[in-house]
Amino acid sequence: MEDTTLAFEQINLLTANIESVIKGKSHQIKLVLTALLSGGHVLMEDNPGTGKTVLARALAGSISGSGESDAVFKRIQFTPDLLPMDLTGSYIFDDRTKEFVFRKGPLFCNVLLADEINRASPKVQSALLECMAENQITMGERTFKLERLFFTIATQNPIETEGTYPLPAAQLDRFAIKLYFGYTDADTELMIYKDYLGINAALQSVKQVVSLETVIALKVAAEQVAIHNELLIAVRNIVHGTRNHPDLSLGASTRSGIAFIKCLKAHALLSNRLFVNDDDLAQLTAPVLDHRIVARTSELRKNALNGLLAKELDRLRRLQLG
Amino acid sequence: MKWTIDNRWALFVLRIFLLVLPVTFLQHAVIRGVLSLGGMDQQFRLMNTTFLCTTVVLSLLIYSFRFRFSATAGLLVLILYVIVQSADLFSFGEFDGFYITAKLMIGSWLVGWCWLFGYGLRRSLVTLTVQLAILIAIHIYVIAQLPFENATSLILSAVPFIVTAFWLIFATAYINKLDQGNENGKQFLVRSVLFLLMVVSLVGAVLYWFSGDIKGVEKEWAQGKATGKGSANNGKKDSESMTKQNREGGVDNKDQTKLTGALQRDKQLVFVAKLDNFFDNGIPNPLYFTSHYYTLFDEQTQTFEPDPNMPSNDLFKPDPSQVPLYSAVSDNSVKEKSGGILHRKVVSAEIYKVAMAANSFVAPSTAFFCQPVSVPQNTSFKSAYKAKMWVSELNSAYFIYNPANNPELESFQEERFEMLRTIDKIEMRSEKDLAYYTKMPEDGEYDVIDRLADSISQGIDKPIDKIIAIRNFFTSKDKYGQPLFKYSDNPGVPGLPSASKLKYFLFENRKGYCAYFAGATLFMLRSLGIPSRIAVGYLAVDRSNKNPGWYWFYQDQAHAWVQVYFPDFGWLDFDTTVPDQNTQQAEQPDGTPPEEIPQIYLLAHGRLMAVDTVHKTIRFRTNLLVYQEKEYKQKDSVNLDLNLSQARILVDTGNLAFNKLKPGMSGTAISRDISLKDKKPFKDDFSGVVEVLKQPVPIDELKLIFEQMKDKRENKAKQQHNSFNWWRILKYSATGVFVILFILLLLPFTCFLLLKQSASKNSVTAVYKLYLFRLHMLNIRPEKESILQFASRVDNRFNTRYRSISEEYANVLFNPHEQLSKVKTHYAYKEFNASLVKYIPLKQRLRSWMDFIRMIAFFKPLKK
Repeated sequence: MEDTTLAFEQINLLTANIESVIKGKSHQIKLVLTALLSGGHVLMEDNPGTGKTVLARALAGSISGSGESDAVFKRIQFTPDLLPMDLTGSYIFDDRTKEFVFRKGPLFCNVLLADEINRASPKVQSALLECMAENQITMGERTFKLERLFFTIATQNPIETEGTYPLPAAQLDRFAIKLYFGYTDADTELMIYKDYLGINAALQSVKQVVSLETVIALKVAAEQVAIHNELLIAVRNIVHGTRNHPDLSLGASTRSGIAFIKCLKAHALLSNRLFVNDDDLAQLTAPVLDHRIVARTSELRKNALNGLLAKELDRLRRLQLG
Repeated sequence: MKWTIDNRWALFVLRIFLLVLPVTFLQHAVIRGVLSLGGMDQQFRLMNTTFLCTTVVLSLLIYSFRFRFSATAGLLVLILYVIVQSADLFSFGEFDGFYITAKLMIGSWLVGWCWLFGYGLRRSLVTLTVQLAILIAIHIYVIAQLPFENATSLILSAVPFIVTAFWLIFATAYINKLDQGNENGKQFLVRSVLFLLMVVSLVGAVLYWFSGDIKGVEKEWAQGKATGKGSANNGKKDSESMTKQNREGGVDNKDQTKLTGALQRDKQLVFVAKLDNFFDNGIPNPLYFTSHYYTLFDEQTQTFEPDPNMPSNDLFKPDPSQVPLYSAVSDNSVKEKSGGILHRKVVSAEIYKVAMAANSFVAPSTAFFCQPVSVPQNTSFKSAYKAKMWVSELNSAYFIYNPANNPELESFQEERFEMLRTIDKIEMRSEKDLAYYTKMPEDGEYDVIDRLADSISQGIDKPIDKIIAIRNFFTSKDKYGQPLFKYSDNPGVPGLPSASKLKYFLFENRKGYCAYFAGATLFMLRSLGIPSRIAVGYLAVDRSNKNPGWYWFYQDQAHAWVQVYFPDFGWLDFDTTVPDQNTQQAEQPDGTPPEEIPQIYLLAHGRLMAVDTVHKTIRFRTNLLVYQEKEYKQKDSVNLDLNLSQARILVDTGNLAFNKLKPGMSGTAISRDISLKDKKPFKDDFSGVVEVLKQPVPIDELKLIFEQMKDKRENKAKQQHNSFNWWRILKYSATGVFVILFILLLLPFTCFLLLKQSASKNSVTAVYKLYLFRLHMLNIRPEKESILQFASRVDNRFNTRYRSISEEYANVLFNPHEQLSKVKTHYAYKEFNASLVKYIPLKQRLRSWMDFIRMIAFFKPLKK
């Protein structure tokens, strides 16, 4: 995208549009959009009924389809008896033509909401994650390309762990960002109660403010965002730090470092900036890295990351102070 | 009409007039009160007050700007401390040094106190209130110590003080408000006038309505005091003696005489004197021996006092104990100052001290020469000196004695009066001198004495006749033929606590001892414009037929009389004390005069270097020898071995054993050895004398001088040396720690100023650094926050506009498109600080500047 101001305009439009539907979640919206523009996927961990679906639908509804219609939004509720074919689609025998025809599964969409991903069997999980990574489905000898814009919002239910298949760390690594949706604050919640009828209406009438093409263009623009060498060093230091940290049993991978940088760039663009700064770093370190590292308790994990981040922030702040 | 005062300088001037002047008044009054309580009234003059006032003004000026109190006050303390310390180090004379240091110490305390006043007046009402409370407390204490005639004067002396204090607090608060533009000046004026009116009417009302009660209180008071005095008399508490026991137990004339109820007199031999003063027919001519002159009268304590600053000071007062034996001190200027030209001659005297203190010096006036001499062996005399005096022939004791109607004496004295009748009007060297020597207490208290003197001297022109009239007044008879005035050692005290004792003596009691007669005479003379002073010393009585020229002085001869100045004649003695009717002066035991002192052949002044107790010899370092009555002096000292086996070792108070001798003592060695009589020195100089002496030289007498102050100091120094100078080490290390602490305290602020300086160039990084430092010192630090997150937090809390500069800085840091050196920002620290100040209390801000450790944290390099 040549014209940066146009890009910023589009981003602001998109953000505002989603925010008009789902209130008090601008931070989460920004993270979701960051994942979108960085070409990654999002894992949301939270209790049911906090607005995850609404967010996903609002996002999908805001993007106009490429030629055919709206951006396609699909939702799959993951259950233990779900089979990979239920996602990818399968060959079905066509009576008329007397041959097997490929019937596309729900993965062939633009925005996919994979609900309670940890309830499905590992087979299904890995099928999904493979698609997310490869952006294509291989069935027999044929390979089917997924949509040019394929964005997954997976959710996990943290409370009921019985009968679930928690995602292994290696799989989690495939999500660019893991975020905690969280409840809204008291005031916003009251506002929502006053206007609960409006939510559905708003969802129905959500305007298509950007085209798929624009989103793809924005993804390209995000790639172009400048990142200072010191920030790359900071990312390196944090990623390295997780590997050598005494409290952490598994550190972040190089792949996660790359994802991190992509997210930083996307976040900078979303903040209407053409360069990455330490604010992006501060905002993204936890969402990007938290799910990729393993510690005994989540508390230790959080502290370790915060410590590494604080050190880098301090270093960056003092770069010119002498 | 509303007036507001915008001009800073106008306010400053207003402060000086409305605040600093009252403060100065208060301070002056309190300090004077304290000093007069300690009997040091003379030392506090207007100049000192002006100096203190200047300090207050300076402090006020400094705190009118945004100087921090802790820093400036700390600096002041440091400066004062350094001044006091350096004065201690660089002082020349030891005693002077001590004196100056003490003076400086007191001075710096006062300066610090005044400085605090300036701060209180400008910034802190609490400080001011506390200081005023302290001043009032001191003042009340002083008032309580002073004698007051009545309750009204007590109230009147306390009330202005308290009113001024309240005024100060009130006015300070108002002017500070004016400074902030909250109040308008007219209201202030109206309120202050109302305030003053209120106070004046209140005090007036109290005095008017409760005058009856006050009188009652006064009466009770007076009774309480009188009974208190009565009982005290038994305990000799309020009695007075003309002499005093000094530290070494020696008798000395007191240097002030208080008029009290009773005089203590003892029959103790004080000294013996040989006075070389005879009439032409060979009859001894006794002279009064003078010790001090009193020229001042302190009304509050009813005390006559000497004045070291009296004009034409002709008092020669050496300390004979500090003069080496046979060395002489003299002051020829007193001859000129005494004003005597006519009928003057030089008379010499030898004074042998018995009970008299070693350091005191008495001689007939006007003495100008003193030479300590050795005392004969095996006598009770402790020390002796020769004195020379510029004596008026009119000062013969026979001229001075109050003849008390003794016709023989009266006719003899006529001769003197006849001479003095040539003088019609007494003039002194200058009008100032005359005013000084005719000064009377200023209040109307002593007007009755004035009137009495006028009535006595009515119709008399010549000054001498006036003096005779006054003398005759004391010896006159009342209508029953009884003497009007009687001598009494126990005249009693007047019923009212502080009523003038002189008035009581002159008009009611008419009994008293010499000080009463002298004092009353002095006031009468002065009221008639005759310059006069009181002389204190010893009355000379010629009782000896066996030893003409020798006089024995006992303690009961201590006396006070009057001296009157006659142009060209100088100060002449007059004694108006009437003879004691009851106890005729008993014959004093007449002693034998001391023998002639044998010829001295060698005399050496110097210092003991070593003491050999086996051979009873000492090594003596000297540079001044008197050999066969000729003095030899040399710049470099020479060691002499002296044989003390036959010698007497003397100090001022008696003999000393050989084993008490210690190296370092100084004194005079004397030899009367016959073998020295005929040996002529090889060369007529110092080394020639040393060569001719056969060492060890036999010595007959060694007289030691104890330099009191010096000795103590040396002891102290020795002690310090013995204890490895712990005290000094402690002192210096404490100073060092203090200085370091002070620098550490100041460092954060200095740092801040430096940052501010560099930030004024509007470079983004410098400005950001300044802001960050300021916040850091206030303990507002980024914690796991990015630059912008921190900025948002600060802005939310303090309503600043910190985010904009933070964004600029982040831009500079991370935006590859920006050119770092070209980026400039708008430097707006003032607004930033103003918003901070609103939210953070002063105390916290002040404390923030003292945290040195916090400052270090800011500049600490990152860990690798």
